Amino acid sequence: MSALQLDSLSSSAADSARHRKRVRLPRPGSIVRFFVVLIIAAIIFLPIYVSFVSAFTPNGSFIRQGLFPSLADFTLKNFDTAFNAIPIVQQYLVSIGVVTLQTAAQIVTGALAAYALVFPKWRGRGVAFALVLVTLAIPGEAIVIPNYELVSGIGLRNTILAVAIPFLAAGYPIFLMRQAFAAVPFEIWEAAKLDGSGDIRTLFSIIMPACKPQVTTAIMWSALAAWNGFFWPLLITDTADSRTIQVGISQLAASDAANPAVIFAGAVLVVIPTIILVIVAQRFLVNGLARGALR
Amino acid sequence: MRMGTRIAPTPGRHRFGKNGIGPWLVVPAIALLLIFVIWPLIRTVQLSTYTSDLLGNPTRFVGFDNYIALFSSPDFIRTVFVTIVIALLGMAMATTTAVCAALLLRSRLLGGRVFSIVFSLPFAYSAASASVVFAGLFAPSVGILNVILGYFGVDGPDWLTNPFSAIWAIAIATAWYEFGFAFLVMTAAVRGLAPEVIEAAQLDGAGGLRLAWRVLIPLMRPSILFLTVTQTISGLQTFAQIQVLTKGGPAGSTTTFVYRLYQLAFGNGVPDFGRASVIAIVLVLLVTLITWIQFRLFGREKTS
Amino acid sequence: MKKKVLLVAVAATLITGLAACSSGGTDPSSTSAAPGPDALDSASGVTEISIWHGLGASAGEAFEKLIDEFNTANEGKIHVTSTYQGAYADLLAKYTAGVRTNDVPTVLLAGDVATGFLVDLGQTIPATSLAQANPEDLNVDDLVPAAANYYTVDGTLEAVPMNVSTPMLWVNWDLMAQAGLSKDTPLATLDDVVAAAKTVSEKTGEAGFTMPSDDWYIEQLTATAGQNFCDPDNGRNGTAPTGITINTGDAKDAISKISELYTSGAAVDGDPRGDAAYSIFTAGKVALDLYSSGVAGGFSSDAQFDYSALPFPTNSSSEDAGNIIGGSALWSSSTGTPAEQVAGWKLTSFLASPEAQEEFSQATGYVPINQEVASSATEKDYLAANPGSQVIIDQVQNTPVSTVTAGCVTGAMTSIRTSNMNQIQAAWAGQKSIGEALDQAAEDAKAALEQYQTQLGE
Repeated sequence: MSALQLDSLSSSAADSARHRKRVRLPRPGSIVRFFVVLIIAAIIFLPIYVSFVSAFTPNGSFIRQGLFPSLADFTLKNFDTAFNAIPIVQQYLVSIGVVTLQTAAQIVTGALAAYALVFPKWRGRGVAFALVLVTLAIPGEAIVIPNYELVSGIGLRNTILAVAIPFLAAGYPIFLMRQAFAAVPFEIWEAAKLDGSGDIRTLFSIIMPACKPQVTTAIMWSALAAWNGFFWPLLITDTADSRTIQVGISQLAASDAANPAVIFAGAVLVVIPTIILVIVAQRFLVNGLARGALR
Repeated sequence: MRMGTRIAPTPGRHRFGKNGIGPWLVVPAIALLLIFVIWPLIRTVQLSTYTSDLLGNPTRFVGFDNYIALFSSPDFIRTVFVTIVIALLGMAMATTTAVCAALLLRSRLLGGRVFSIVFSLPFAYSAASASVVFAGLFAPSVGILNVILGYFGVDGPDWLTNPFSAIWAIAIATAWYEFGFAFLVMTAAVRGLAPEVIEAAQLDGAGGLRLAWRVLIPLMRPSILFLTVTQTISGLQTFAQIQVLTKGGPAGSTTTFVYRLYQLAFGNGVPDFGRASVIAIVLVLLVTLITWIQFRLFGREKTS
Repeated sequence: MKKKVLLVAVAATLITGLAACSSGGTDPSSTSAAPGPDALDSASGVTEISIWHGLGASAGEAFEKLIDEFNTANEGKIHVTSTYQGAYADLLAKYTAGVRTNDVPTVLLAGDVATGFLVDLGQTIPATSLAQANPEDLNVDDLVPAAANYYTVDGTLEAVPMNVSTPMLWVNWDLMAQAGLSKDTPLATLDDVVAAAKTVSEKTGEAGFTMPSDDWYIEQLTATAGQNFCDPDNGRNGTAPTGITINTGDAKDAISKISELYTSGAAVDGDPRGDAAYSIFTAGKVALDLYSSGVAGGFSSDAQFDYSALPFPTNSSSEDAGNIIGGSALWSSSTGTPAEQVAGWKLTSFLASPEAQEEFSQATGYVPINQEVASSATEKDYLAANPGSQVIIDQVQNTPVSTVTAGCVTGAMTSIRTSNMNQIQAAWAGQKSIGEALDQAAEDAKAALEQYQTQLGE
């Protein structure tokens, strides 16, 4: 199903829901449904529950007190140990720096490229787009060695730039935005051109606003990929201060200083921003997927 | 932008030709992609056909020697097997559960909103942070998971130290964090199902499971396909979970492609970029194959 | 016209000459004498040097403290910047990348297993040379023989050991008592240990034995069986090793005996990082744990029962048999100015001095590598208060100096360790017999060693 088809379906679903009479579901079915959902949810939630509770209680609480350790044992000591074991704040800043740099670069270069691939007609256009598509099929993990040689060789090791540099442009955002721009009616672009608007201005004040859902999806994809990066940051950084939080947390798990409760405390610290994001933006994420990202 | 004045586009004389700066906007992205994606791929092919010295510099062209050495080692066969199994297991578990969860929440349910959020939570976890959480769950002898299973009377296996269960441990951790995204995608797909078709099927007497199996899931096929393909591709590149949980063991039972690449190129002290590059090339070929299949199945147009 | 040709010729010569001189990077160190104290004395201002290490947590803190002490004592003349580059593996990767770009530290505190690789890489000055050129500084004869032995290749001491550990047999006496085994139970030989482990497992249902699933312990079993881990001569006498020996002789017996505990269920897998071997012991669920002396500190705070460390068990009566030390050592870079090299040697000498070693070993539980420490009054007091440490120190002191206890030296060591454990763990999981596993491991090691030689020759 194309994005446009899905879009029209979901809006027609909303329409007919309003006019339809409510169909009563048989009671036993919905009770069964509830319990099945409950069980699945419990399984999914278990790791989160365990990690949060363990982070806030002394090590070994589950062993001593069973599934529901008492609230009286609440402690922040594990977080204290975690903060001392690895420079969490510094690593957070590094991760934020990497995400900002990488996302901004990918979106800007991507938007520029997508624009160039859609509106002006020029001879190499097909080849350029084919090139972009080719990069979609190349997994990042497979090309680390030459990038490692290059980035190490120019002396950039251990910097935020080094972590972001192989990913300053990415095929997927270009692809997403290109598809979105291609769906913008040609007349809009032509009108802007005739009004004397330069290409860059047209891009940023007319085309991109017209494609907000897809651009937003591209931004989210880039930011998420940058935040979650692990293999490359691991290779190109050496000292704890320069590592991203994902790498830092994995080293907390491997360090001698950490017992399970401390490791969980670290894990909690890493995911708090993204968990808040998911809770707040869950509906938005689903809508975005239904409209923009799915083919 | 000058308002109210219509000016015809100026022909010819402009420094950038009739298209103005337009086409040149593609340069930054293309340049970056060439330097950091295309050229490394070519270089990796080159490295894979050379022996390297103690520092990893390529020194002598050896043609396919590295390939032959790698393909004929039994370890390599096992690496292929492990990589594919982990990718497929993780994908299967995540997708199936996501389809079920999304369908179960399709119509109103007590606490549906809460459940929906709970199911989305794993999306907040990266492979690394999920692995850290599961490290605590699977830890040998003090792992919480076995403690909890014990309360239900189940004797949990040695997750990380038994070669057989180690693969499951990795697959479970992978499936768990992939589930978040899978659930979001499946929910979006469920939302997009045409109610008329569903009603018609329901009037025909299809209810519950049969409705789901015969009608809903086939309608969701494109999204399910999208999920399975992207999850398989990312599953083939599993690394963080191995690095955190098992380091390729026990008995090499969780050494995936990327982990083997890491071992050969960075983990063994002596960088063997030649052999590591062979692994990289095999990975590229495998992923390209699956991506190609994806494009065929979706029947996308590549250029407008 | 002639003038022009001349100019061009001169220019060409200059350029070629400059190009030849400026080739940075990987020229192997010359065999001429190392710089002496004059190089540093004649240097004006502060000589800045750097040291990279892989010591984390409490060991790292103790190390940084020593660095501060050195900086204070040498203010105005030498200043050291110390950087923690991550665990040993990360440190080595960083160093290798650094060699390619000429960004290496004056002194490198590298893990034991890197010895072969660093020697072959040729970017360092042997400790012997620096000691000879600087007689006022460290006297390498003061080093504990077993420790120096590990870092001696072909008669030359390449690096100065900094922190040394040795594997011990940790015994949970409470659990042993539950199985009816008193504190008098003989545990000196491997057979004793196997018997005790089986008894504990049968009588109590808890695990009788464990150890980290790390090849280091397999090497220990080989060395305490009096056998060289690799041939010829563990690589110590000038010829590169071509194969390992664990599938033959007494080593095979020792390994097989221990493996039998695993396949019979009396032993539990300790996990390659040693996590399980650590936590299962502190949880009181295993009676006998072969583990590095480095866990002494951790056990003392986490193990809440009666336990102690005993010497590593061995069946062998060979004079050469003993344990291989672990830890890390200080390597001096051959790049950098003579003043820096001498300053680096002063740092190394300080870190290996009796005072520094006493302070460091008491803070971390590592064994002091300087023999002079034993005669210190404060050390004697410390050992009297901590008898557990005495057992550990004694084991290192009593280790004979032989190629067997020097351990195998080759750059392919890490690769061999991985493939060995792959095979051995497969045997423990019941996938193949230990004999098959060891044979396959020997074959894989042979291939790894060949591949290493190829890369070395490039």
